[in-house]
Amino acid sequence: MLILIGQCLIQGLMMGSIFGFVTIGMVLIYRVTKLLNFSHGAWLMVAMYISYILFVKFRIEPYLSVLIAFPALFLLAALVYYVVMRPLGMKGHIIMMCQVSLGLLWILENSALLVFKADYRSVQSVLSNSKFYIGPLIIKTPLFIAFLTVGIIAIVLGWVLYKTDFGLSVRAISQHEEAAKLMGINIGRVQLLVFAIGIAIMGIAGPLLVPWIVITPHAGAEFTFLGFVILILAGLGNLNGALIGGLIIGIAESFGGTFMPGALASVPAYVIFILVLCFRPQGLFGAR
Amino acid sequence: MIKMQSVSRARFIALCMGFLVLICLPALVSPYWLRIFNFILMWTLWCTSLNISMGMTGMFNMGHVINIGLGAYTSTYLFLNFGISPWVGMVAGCIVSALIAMFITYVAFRYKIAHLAYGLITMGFAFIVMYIISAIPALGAINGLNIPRKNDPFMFLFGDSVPYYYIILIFAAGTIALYRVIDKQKLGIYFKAIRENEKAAEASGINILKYKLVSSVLSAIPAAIGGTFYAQYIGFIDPHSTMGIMLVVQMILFTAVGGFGLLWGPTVACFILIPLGEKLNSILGVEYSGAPQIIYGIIVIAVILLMPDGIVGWLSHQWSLYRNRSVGSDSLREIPS
Repeated sequence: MLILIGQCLIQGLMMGSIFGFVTIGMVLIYRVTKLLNFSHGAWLMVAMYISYILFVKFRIEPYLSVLIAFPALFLLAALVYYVVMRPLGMKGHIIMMCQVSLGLLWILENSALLVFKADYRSVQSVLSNSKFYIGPLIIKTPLFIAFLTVGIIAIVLGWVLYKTDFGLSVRAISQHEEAAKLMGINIGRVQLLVFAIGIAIMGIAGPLLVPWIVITPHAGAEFTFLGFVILILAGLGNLNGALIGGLIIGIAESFGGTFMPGALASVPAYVIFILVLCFRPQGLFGAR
Repeated sequence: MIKMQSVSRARFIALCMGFLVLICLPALVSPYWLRIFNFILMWTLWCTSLNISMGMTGMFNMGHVINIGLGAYTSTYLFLNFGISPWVGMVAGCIVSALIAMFITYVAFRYKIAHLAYGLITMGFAFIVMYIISAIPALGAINGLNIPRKNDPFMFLFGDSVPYYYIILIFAAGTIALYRVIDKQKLGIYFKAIRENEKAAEASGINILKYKLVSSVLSAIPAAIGGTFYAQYIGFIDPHSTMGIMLVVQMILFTAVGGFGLLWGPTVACFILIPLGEKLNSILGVEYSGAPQIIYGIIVIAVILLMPDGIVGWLSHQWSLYRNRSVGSDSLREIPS
């Protein structure tokens, strides 16, 4: 029993790191453009299909497909921001930006459905089935790699945000857009970059996920909606909170999956969500 | 003034003509298209009810599916287990979903959950209700519930589409009338004041909580009725088809295309988009599943970009421009910017 709980805990932590990672992208975008990106998980799904194609057509190892998925998503997201989001954001139509991101979700999911049909697909990396042991606990190598990578990227992001000029301008905009503009920060450029980076890091998360997850056109939706739960849990717009919230939700999901009947697997996560809402409405780490 | 009256009379006549056409419709179209019209009217009802809370009061209500699902599940449960007529069950469904809607609105208000966060909270509730229902065996769990097909008007069951058509026509017209009545009352002014600026509305003495509760109830009741209709018409409900989050996404997008906070917005959007989707589906759907939805999505984004107030908002803006020009230079100043 103890081993089972420990196993759940480890599994949940590693799953949760991915949830947190996905949410970080959302938080970045939310803080700088005030957009709740409903299409976030759909981009993750796109990244997963990119590494699937690369694997099937060119036999490229899933982890290497980061090198293609990241720039591809960066360019696509920049294009989307330039064509669709910026005209709306400039007029201050925040709700409409959300609606457009809902429309994007629709387009992306159905494009995947059109190209790949609704079949379940999976990618077999060399590491897919490998695992190692820490004491009595089994750890799957791909999960562990994902966990480590998320940690590294989170540190890099933290360094960019808190130690560089670019990060300074990002934080300035998220605190007070008007004042940041008056200080001579090029808002449009920073928003464009943050939007593109926020989505491009899905290009890292996707290849990390494919060795051990089933790819379907709707694979991303779960990440979007759990991402929103984490967003609220952490307090809207809190980056560190998003990571820790991700871990909490990951653990809750993993325990739910093990100890609850099938359909109720996601309930613990949402119950935590409601409890936090009732006792700490500003989020676990929210200031306001 | 006289001109205004003639315009509103013309509008009234057009409305009557449209309604007359809709009444005669079952004699004019094939059963296939009548079925599509049933869906159009059902979606009109759902989107218009969403428009009351989201369009008029400005609550980003992602949990609207809860109302539909509870309406469908309450009446179906009472019908299957106790033999209670869905006509009665419909009322029970309205009560249940109104109570839940009030609860969610109250919780969100109590903890001062703002604009976008409100959308996320209601979405969370939608997921919770969906998961709970899909775990209750008495409600069919994940497999859903089947309603036996027979012809029994007292049990809200009919042999063919025509009676359903008239029923949903009345319900949809009733919802549009409800929207119109609220719009013209003081209540509508309160709702819009809350939408435009909550703090200012509160400062002017509007009881925000009270009117948000009223708004969510008024929006929940038609939705629950629509849910019962859905269950009785389709004959099958499951958590995903009645409470899935994509349902509310679609409602929001339809309403956005038509125009949020406009009386005819949802109706126009449903009458354009649903037949279009059906047509695309019959042309492309077999070989290229997903293609119709892509075209749909592109249309939605294009409309939001080019006409931020929706099709109806854009049309009425063009109309007012046109009218002001024809009256003469005197009223040119009134052109809305």
